Amino acid sequence: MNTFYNRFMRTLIVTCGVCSSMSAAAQDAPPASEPAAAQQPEASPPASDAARATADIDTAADTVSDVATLTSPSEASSVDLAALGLSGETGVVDDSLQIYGFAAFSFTQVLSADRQVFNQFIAKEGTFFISDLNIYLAKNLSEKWRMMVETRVTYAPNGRVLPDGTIEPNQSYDQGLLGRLANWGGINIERAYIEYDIHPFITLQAGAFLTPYGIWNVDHGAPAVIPFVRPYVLVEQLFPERQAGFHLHGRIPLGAYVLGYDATLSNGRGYFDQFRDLDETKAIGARLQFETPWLGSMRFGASIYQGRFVDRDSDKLVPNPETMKIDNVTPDGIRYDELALAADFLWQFKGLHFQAELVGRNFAYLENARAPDGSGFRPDSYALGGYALIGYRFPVLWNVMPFVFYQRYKREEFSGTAVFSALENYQVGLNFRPIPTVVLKLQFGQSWVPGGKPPIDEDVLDTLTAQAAWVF
Amino acid sequence: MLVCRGLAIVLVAGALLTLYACGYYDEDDRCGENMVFNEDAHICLCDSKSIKQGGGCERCPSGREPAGDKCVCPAGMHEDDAGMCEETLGLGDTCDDDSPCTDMVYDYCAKKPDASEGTCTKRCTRDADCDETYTCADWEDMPYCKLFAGVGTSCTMPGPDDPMCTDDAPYCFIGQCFVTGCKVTENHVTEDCPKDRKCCDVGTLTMGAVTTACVALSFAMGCQ
Repeated sequence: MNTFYNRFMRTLIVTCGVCSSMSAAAQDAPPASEPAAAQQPEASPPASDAARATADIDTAADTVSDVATLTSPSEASSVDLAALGLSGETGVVDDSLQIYGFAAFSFTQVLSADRQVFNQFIAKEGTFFISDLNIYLAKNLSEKWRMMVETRVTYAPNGRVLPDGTIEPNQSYDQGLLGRLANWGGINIERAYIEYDIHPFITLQAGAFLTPYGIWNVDHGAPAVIPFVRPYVLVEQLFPERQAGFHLHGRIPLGAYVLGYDATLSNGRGYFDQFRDLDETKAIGARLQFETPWLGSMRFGASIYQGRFVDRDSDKLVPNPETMKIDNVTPDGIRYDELALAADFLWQFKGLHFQAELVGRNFAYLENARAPDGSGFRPDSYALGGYALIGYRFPVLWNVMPFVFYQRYKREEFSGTAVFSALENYQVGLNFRPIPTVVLKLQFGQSWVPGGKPPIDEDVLDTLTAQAAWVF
Repeated sequence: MLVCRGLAIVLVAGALLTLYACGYYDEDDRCGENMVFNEDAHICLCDSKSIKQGGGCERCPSGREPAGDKCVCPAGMHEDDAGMCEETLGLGDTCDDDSPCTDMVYDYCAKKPDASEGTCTKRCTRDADCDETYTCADWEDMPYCKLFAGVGTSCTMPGPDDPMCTDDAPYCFIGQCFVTGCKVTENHVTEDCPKDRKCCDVGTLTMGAVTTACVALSFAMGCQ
């Protein structure tokens, strides 16, 4: 493994050298601020909640939310609201329906040897693809009521790899096209909620929402994420990515500081958690976020989630010999209690950008409700991981940001961890913002399994990725 | 000021670790009742007195022992009409050239190659002809009901030297004693493995010189 560390260190040193020389070259330039934090996307919606929604695409929206338009009534608005029976209370609110979103076009190429078992985890052939296409709908229903919907249009389930190794095409005869074969995909409801301002510092959200934790779960749009994809600890969902229920949140200014908070109550985690809770226990969560003006701006966050996962068959009707009646019986299925914790840190100073997240999750199965695993069962376990990213945004070369990203993730224990118990990865790359709504990325990364055992051994997965992400 | 900030970060990290320690995971108790954690396989297995039942392990009633996913009467015994285990006269008795099997049913003396002594059993043509813990050795020229003693017994010393493993199932791997050296075929019914196991090529696993082993059917999907 020393070889990999040596490669990593060499690349890090080279990259830092490039950063230093570019930094020196830029010293005469005016202080560069992170465009994402300083510029409002051209396509950002005007309403306050819509601005919050846009934060998912570009953190610029955070800074403009307070000044977002709430005072521009229009004839059209009145007509729309009258149709909804709401005209009486919304005379000064921009109630127009905002439609916006983000998309990304990507390319990946595995550079390491084809024979590597590691290549099982990624399409090894150089491939172009649309990796993101998310569409937002947002609307102010009144001064205090708002709604937002985000959907992700996806190719899934087309191309699903089946357990026997075949790749399943999802095709159907398109009768609108003379019965020709057409691929079909799906639509994920990322979130859909309505919210109400109880107080200037207290807002209640009801619906499906992204779990408020860390930096890149809610702010999840490809243009906002600096590397090609989000870190393992996020995509592996140590916290559930989204929940259905209630979300109370607010931001309290304290002089030069801001205290943000979130509290959630939801169905918890499960395969159907967005529309059905398979038991009576509800999940709870919370987040505290403290924003300071220290050394530019520093933000500290801590999050917690506690809930019960349930996966079971539907209720069954079983004869009860004692009562001579038919009973409704609920199968145990698979159930575990889980606790997830996270801490995050974001520091922005002129062009410098540093962020890190540490996320952990532990869980214990309920009695007689363990998940099967080979000839036995999965044990109680924990997963833990984190990442750190440092970059510097220069005001030249399309606002280029060279960055270095490192992450490590320890997987939860099960039979698969006999050969694949953890994953480490680093990436070096360039992130360009030629205009505020377009981001271009180019990066090289290496991944390996620490202490790798056969058949992965000390394989290293080398990847080259490129992406064009844009807000619309 | 920097010291204060550093202290704040340490406090947050400490609080996080404290909270984490108060979670659900207990490293000393990772499995449920009647289970043991296997370090090699990273899974929970039923202990030597229990069988899988739903999402847990259930202790076999007194006088029964696990065989696959069932609690059965021990070798040499069978279940009577009342559901009690009673000795099967003649089955498993020691035999040799001077002391042949005298039982009317278990009249065949099964000896291992080069052994002078064997145990009494009976001829068969299929597994159903045999008692519960026996497998019809239909790969032999003269098929008979064969007992693979010690298959699946819990063991702790990976390799061929675990004292819990037997001559029939000599290799300890992922916490169980395995039959090794079987012949891989397309049809597990006629393989030289216990009836609830399939012969698999395990050359890619870390089992030393072992290239084939009899693997539980539930674990053998897709094995060659």
